[in-house]
This record gives sequence, C-alpha cells and structure tokens, in this order.
Amino acid sequence: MKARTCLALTALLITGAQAQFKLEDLGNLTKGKNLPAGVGDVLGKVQEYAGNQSADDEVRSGDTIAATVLGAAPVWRNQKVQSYVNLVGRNLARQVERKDVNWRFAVLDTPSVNAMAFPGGIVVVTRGLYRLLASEDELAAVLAHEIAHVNRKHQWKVIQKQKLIAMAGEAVTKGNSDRTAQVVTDLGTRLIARGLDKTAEFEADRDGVVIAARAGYDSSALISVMGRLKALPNNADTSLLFSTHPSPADRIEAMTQAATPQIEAAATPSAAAARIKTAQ
Amino acid sequence: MTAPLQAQPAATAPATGNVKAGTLVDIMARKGFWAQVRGGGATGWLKLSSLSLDSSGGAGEIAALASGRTGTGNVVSASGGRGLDAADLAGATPDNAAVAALSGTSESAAAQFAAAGNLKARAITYLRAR
Repeated sequence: MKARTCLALTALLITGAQAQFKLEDLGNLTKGKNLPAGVGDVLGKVQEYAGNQSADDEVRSGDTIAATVLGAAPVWRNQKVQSYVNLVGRNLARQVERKDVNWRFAVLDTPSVNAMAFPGGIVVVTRGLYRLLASEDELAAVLAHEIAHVNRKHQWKVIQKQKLIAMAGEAVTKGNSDRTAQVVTDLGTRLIARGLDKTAEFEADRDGVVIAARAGYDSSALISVMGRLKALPNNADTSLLFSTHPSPADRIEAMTQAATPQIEAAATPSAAAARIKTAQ
Repeated sequence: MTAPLQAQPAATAPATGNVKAGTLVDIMARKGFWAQVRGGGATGWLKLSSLSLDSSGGAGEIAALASGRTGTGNVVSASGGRGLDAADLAGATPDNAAVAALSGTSESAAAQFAAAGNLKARAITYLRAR
C-alpha cells in the first residue's frame, strides 16, 4: 500500500502489510468455518458494507463525493461549452470497455487548473484548465485521462479498500448504513485532496493516450497539454493539481517511453482539432 | 542548459545545433513525438518532451524550452470563480442539486458529433509501462 493513499484513519487500525488482503479473502474465511460467536456476524457486516458492490453503489458514492467538489466550485454557466464537453467526453467513453457507467461531464467555474474523475462517471475540468487547451485533441486528451480512471475504477478501488479497513474497526462496536455512507464520502473527499498513487496516474496517462487515439484524436495531445502545465507557476491555482500528480516532465517521459509505433503513427492533429474554438 | 536539435525526428539523426533553455522557438512541423523548430539561430527537430507550450495558441504557435522559465506570460487568470485547493474542498458545503442537474448526453448524439467532426475510430491496443 502506497503511503499517499493510506489515510490516517486506516493507519491506526491495521498495518500496511496486513491490509493487503482482498475482499474475497473474507468470503473464504467465513465459508464453512465454525467461527466464535459474533465474529461471523461482524465479518458478514463488514462484507455487506464493503464487499463488491454494484455500479449503482459506485454512482451513488461518486455523486456524493462530486457534490462536495461542486460545492467548492460551481458548474460554469456556459451551456455551449457544457454541451460541447459532454459530446467530446461521451464519444471518448465509447472507446472503453466499461458500459455500466453514467457518464456526465462538466466544466467548473474556477480559475484553478485541474481535472477530476469520480467513481460512477462524473468527470470535471476546471475553467482554468479549459482555457489553456488549444484544440479539441487536447480537450479529448484530458477527458480521456479522466475516463481511464473511471474505466479502471482507480478511485473506487481505493475507497473500497479503505472502507473495508475503516468499517472493520467500527463493526466491532456497531455499524449502520448512514455511518457507512458518511465514511465513503469522507474517504472520497480526502482522496480528491490527496490524490491517487503515481502508478495509477501514469496508467491513466497511457490509457488516456490510447482512448483519445482510438476516437481519432492526436495521440501526442496529452504530451502537448503537459507542455502547457510545465509552463505554469506553482501557485494557489495549480497547487492541488501539482500535489496530486507526478510532475508534467515525468509524465511526458513515461508516455514517451511507453509509446509504440502504432501510437506514434497516430500523432497527427484530428480533423476536429479547431472545433474547440466554436465553444468558448 | 541546452537541448540538441536533430536533422530528422530521431535521436540517432545528426545534430544540427543546440538551443538554450528558455529560447522562444517557432514550431514549423510536427511528426510523432517530435517538433521541427526554429529559434536562437538554429533549425532542427526537438523532442516534444523538451518543449513547454505557450497557451496563447494559434496557428503560429510559439514554444519555449521548459527547463528554464518561459519568457512569455503563461498566466492563469486570477479573476472570477472560487478556488479549488485542498482547503476549499475541506470547507465546502456539498451541492447535491448541482450534481443532480448534470445530465450528460446520449451515445447516439456523441456518435453523430464524432461523424460531424470527421473523427474516425481506430483499433489501438493499450500501452504497457516501460
């Protein structure tokens, strides 16, 4: 378990090494065994709260976490841009494997430079980042990176794991569904502030490049976006982005290293590149 | 600090010169993960990873080497809207109505939009970390 994704709450309860068990392990543990009175109940509860949940649960939890972010930065009142970003995003989402996602895209009215994905399919880009983008290819690259996070359930997996640990501690006393919902919201909001581990960010970069290229966009556009981020000062508008992601230079290097001839061949601007200028 | 310019978009191509960090260059062409640039009295191919792009955009896009601070004003707007840093998130009141108002768009509308932009889907395999 990476230190960055390890919340203080979980650290008290179980050490890193012990936290490596999977959800399925609990099932094996309880199956056909005579457990001491009460232990089976507790494990059952934990599994109920933290077990593999449906896409509906994922959407519900993701929406609750997104509500906090939208409380901090409202949706930009620019219907033209909102519609445009939804069309670009929804088209990109056709290129991924997951079909059980409720995709919704939005540009937030804040000068901060960032983009975020929430479990279940809300993807947001800030106005501060949107205005830096020079083409539809660059917008697609940013959205595709976020879509990759949802497709791989990066945030949701971290939340599930940490919820399991948090609830294991609490279930010994008592657990209830309101409390569980609160724990998920708290974990999710803290995850937004702390970020995923670097491995997940690099993976979303590689997937994002592929997803955008699959849709017909320039496979080098995410590198171009990183070039723009590199030029930004580290200040109040960029601090969250820079503290939750590897440096733009490292991300460019990793994408360049991972690129295949097939991807390099797709590094040409798309026919739709200039369309972003019609939605400003 | 300098970056080498190559005669062709390949690391193995002969060098045509060097540009100093912070030099403003014009991008004349792009190929793969390379850009053909002109600036500081030299012309040649430079890896995209050596560039930092100015967001003024436009056709004659200007770029500067990233390792130094760019001389142009890559300023993020300080006007309008609220911030979104860790403290803003911690102090935020959830806006569930704003989330409920997000409607998304249909897959068929998105497909039409792709066709209108002459975007053609391609089969491309995922990349592995290297």
